[in-house]
Amino acid sequence: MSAEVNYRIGVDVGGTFTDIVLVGEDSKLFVKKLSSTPDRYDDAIIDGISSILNEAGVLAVQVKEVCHSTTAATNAVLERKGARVGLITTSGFRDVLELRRLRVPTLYDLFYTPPEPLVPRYLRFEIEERVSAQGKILKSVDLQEVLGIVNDLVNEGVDSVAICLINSFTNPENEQVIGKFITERFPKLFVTISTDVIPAIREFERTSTTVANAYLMPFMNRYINSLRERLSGMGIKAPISVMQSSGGMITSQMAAVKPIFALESGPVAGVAGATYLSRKMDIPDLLTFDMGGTTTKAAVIENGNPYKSGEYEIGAPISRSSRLVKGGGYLLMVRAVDVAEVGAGGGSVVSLDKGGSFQVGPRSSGAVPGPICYDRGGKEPTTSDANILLGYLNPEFLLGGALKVNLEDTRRIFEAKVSNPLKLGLHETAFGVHQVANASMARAMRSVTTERGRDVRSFTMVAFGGSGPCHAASLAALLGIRKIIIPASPGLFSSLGLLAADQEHEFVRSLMMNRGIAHVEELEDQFMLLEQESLRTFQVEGYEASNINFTRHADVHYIGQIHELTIPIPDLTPFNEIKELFEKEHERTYGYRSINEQIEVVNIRVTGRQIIPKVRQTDLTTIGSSLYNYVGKKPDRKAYFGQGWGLIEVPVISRYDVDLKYRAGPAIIEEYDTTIVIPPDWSVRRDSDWNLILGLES
Amino acid sequence: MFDKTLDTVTFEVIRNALQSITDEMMLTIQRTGRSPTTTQAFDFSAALCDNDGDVLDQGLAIPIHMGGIPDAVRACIDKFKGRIYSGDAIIVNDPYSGGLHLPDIFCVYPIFHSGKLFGFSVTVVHHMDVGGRAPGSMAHDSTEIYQEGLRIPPTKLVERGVISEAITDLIELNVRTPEVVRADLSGQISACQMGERGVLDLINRYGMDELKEYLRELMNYSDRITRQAISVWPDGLYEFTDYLDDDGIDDQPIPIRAAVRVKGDSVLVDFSGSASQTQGALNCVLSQSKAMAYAAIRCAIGEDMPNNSGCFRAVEVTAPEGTITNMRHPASCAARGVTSFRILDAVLGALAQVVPDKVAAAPEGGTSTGRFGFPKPDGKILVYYDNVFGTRGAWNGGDGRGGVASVAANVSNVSVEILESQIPIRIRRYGLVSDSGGPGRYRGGLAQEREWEILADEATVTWRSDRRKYPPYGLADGHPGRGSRSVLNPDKQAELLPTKINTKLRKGDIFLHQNAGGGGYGSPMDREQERVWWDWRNGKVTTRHAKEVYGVVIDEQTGQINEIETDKLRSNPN
Repeated sequence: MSAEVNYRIGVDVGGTFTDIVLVGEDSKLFVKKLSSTPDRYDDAIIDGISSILNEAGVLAVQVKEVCHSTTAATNAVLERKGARVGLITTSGFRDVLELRRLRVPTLYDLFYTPPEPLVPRYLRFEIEERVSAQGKILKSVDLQEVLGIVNDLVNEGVDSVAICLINSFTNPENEQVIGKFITERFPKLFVTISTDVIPAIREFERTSTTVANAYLMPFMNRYINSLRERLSGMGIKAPISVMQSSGGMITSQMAAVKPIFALESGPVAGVAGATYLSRKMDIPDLLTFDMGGTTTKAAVIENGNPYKSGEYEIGAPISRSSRLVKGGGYLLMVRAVDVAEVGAGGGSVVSLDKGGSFQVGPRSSGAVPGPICYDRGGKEPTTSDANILLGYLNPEFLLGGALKVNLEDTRRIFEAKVSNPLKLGLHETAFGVHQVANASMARAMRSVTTERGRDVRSFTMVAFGGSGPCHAASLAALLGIRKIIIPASPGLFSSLGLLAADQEHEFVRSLMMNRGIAHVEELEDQFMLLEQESLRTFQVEGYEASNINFTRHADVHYIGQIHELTIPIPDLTPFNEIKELFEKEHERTYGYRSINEQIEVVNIRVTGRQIIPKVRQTDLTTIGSSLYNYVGKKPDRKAYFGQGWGLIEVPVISRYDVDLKYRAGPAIIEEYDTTIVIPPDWSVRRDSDWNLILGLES
Repeated sequence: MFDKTLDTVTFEVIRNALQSITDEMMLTIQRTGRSPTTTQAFDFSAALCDNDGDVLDQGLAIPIHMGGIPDAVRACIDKFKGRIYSGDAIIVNDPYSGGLHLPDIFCVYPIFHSGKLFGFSVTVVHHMDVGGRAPGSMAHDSTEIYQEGLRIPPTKLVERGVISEAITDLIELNVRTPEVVRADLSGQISACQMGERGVLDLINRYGMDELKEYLRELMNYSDRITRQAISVWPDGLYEFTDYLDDDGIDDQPIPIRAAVRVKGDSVLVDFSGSASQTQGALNCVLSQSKAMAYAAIRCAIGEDMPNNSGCFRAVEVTAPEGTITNMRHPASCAARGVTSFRILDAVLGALAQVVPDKVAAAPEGGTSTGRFGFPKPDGKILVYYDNVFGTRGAWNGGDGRGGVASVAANVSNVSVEILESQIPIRIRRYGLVSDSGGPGRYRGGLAQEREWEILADEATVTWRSDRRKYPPYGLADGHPGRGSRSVLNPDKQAELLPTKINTKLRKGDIFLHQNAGGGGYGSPMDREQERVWWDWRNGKVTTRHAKEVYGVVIDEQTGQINEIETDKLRSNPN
């Protein structure tokens, strides 16, 4: 092994598995999947990295970057393991956090109970101050009052303080004065100022976001520091980057200060990988289909960029229903890749209801006991069990032989609990479960496409996650999608995606402009200011100015609307052209434009992206060959494809057996981390980079 | 049970697809809307109906609208029989011609496939203004429907894809906020078209006849779940009377009486004995009263099921004409929302005798809601909306909460910052009120208060509230919540205002409203001491309230419970 080759490591820590990939400049890829260690997440990371380096014969000094996504912070919220936070807010408003937006996620439920606020009422302090809606300071801050409040907070054992004042987005001065005072006088306290995190209108959303940041800051600090020390201890002194929910990377130092930007980073890492594929393969519009054990996630890539939304919730119970019903979790007003999630996955439990119908999910058998077929004590039929009975998954072994399948119990329990009560045959029932799971997952797919006026049929699907490739073809057919890409190593695709993402910072400025063309210069100035701010941040992190690339966006709406559409703005765009760009998008999304109405530019955004440095120039699409250069002959088996096709003989092959030209289905492709099902009416080929392409015959 | 000629998989797929479609319709209205009612408060609904007007699926928003949709669709069918075309959009708001109250404009949009009428996509939006006596068209003190604004019978706003200039002009001339109403109507039509596209996709996939069979089965399915639940309820007649404080014109209490007869797997709800229709605008059309009875029964059933007309086949509702629960022309009805909430409370009060563990004590009693009107320099009027809302009653096992929307109307609050950026008002306070939750073993939710300071020279304010004299009831020895209050200039002369007002305020005036607290469940003397202490710690009950109502003595110096004193009080409550 040449010691000159540089390597990068991608680590995705999920609730169940920690996935690690090691990629060399020479396109060599090594993978490792091990159980996560939720008590101390970095145990699995360090173990995994040590063993992958050993197996690859790579030295620690050859590692030039560690890219990381983690569920740790999200879980800290779910398990309420965050900091003891005190909130300082404007007099009269300490209950904003508790009153939320009132709406609830379920109708007709007299006993609905929202999650407890992250800061209890007695730790929410009011201060005499006021800023007007126009940004005028009506009452400034009295530092004596601040001192009294902070002393009380310290006496209560608070270690992190959130500051969010009414209308501060129009003038952050009062917030800043308080923040500066606390930082100087109480250097041990963590401080989060709302306008530093997200200077945007809407007091509940901003307060909730600020509080969540304060809640996670001490935790994330410890997490990052510990990881850095332990990596350093094993000789890896390379920088650590963390995936943001927006799809770009930030330095670990930044993630420790603004942890809310690094939540849900695992699912987003998969989308970042798909974004890379989109650009590389020149397929501008992709729909990602990421199916795991408990949930399925969907996101859209349009014109080579992931579609983002302005807010999302964490900690909401997974439901079958839509994103229309918010309020079940903690709201974050953070620009994030818009990932829709439904409670249907491989481990989703099949249940019969009183009306004589059956449902799949949202309850999951989880990692333990898991599906019946895993033979770890699972007694409830799941999607994966149905897939075993259909012949899609190997009836003897999974995970390359690491997991022995209990076919007998699977069949017996499935019959007793599902097919007999429904008076249907075993195969019909299993096929039904497979399709009902698809119907549920289709809702996630539609919510990111048709609900935004996009025709889902015009997208190419990218399927990954452990169970995605097994359902991809049948789900695509249901949606009317005719082309699917299955990337190399689909079960570890998220960690690969980490290596594909750019370093990225987004800066936002809130402004209300509804004036005419004359103000184009002002808009230009505002954009320039943001670009300078962004540049400074990159420089602080040690990047060169010449390598930074900026893109501009504006959040625009018609006056009176509350929801904005985010429009890409080329440099020096006159105001009337912004209106045209906005109206075009409005028409596309909602079906009409209002010619006589005025628009408002609510926020402007600048995204600074660091052009990939040398160490990152590994072409990730060429790594497939190092994984698939083996031949493994497996016995054919029977699989069931619905009443039309029935139970038919299906060849079981490996990716290596797939040619550059289409091969007609049916076929089942077994891999270490997934199983790819090609139904009889689909065909499969591979490209030169070992991506599989599935097509539906017309 | 399940119709064996159909397949359960297709059934589940279609069920999901319908919910997706109505979700899409809802989101379209909300994202494109202009008024705070659409963009922020979610005071709108979307549904798909079959060609008889039965609801196939309704988006998750306002149960109040649910019962009204079939009647609105049927009114449109009756009016235009044989003249309904593809590309029509029929609107209606008149409560005597299929509507609920004038601000709620329905848009009924026929869906055709191969020249055959499949059904309708329907949206209903609470519009910012439809004319009438007061900005926002929500005055409680109109005494006949003619004072309340523009009445629209079933009318083709769009025919065969061509929008009627005459109707548009007529509407825009009659409302105070023509741009806002126009935009919200566009959003309604846009949402209906989205519904049409979704349904056509389904028809193309399954064929109209097969799809209809599944849709029928979906309704049968909801019906089965409902009847199964009701069949285990003990047969009998259960009665409950609740009250509205007044109609804002005279101060006589207004009884709402619900008699619930459970028999086998069905329920009859009879509102006989409720008050005669009122002079003030508190009256309901029958479809409104039905909707509330349906909502109450669904809450008591507590099972998840598709949201369609099948849920209510087992329920019959009657109300004598000329009462507040079934008004007769020309009664006024703009502020009938508060009556709907009380009808719900009354039916739930009766159901609490049937299934005591499935019903909570009374919530705050409905949205306290108002409209602010400001004259603009150009002679037009700026109209805005705000509310104080969302306090729930306790139940056997849990405290009610302040800050959770009612089961009858899943609406949101209005952001303080957005409100301040749009109208000359400053919000001085928005929070919970100590000691206001109905005491009980489980405490009712705390009331909320909000204070508005007028920054303009003049503002017209209509405000509708209730539950002052008749606060939200408790259950099983739980106490009622504290009643609501409205106060003008609380820091100065502190003038107590009536529950329902239509008035002018001037610059510097401060208007305070507190809604009612939720009812409690069980005796407060049985409340766990730790829970009382935690409430005290969080300022939700005061030291005095803890002692006098809960018998828990807390030492303010140490912050601990004085166990000896507490035991004394609790063992000998008098």
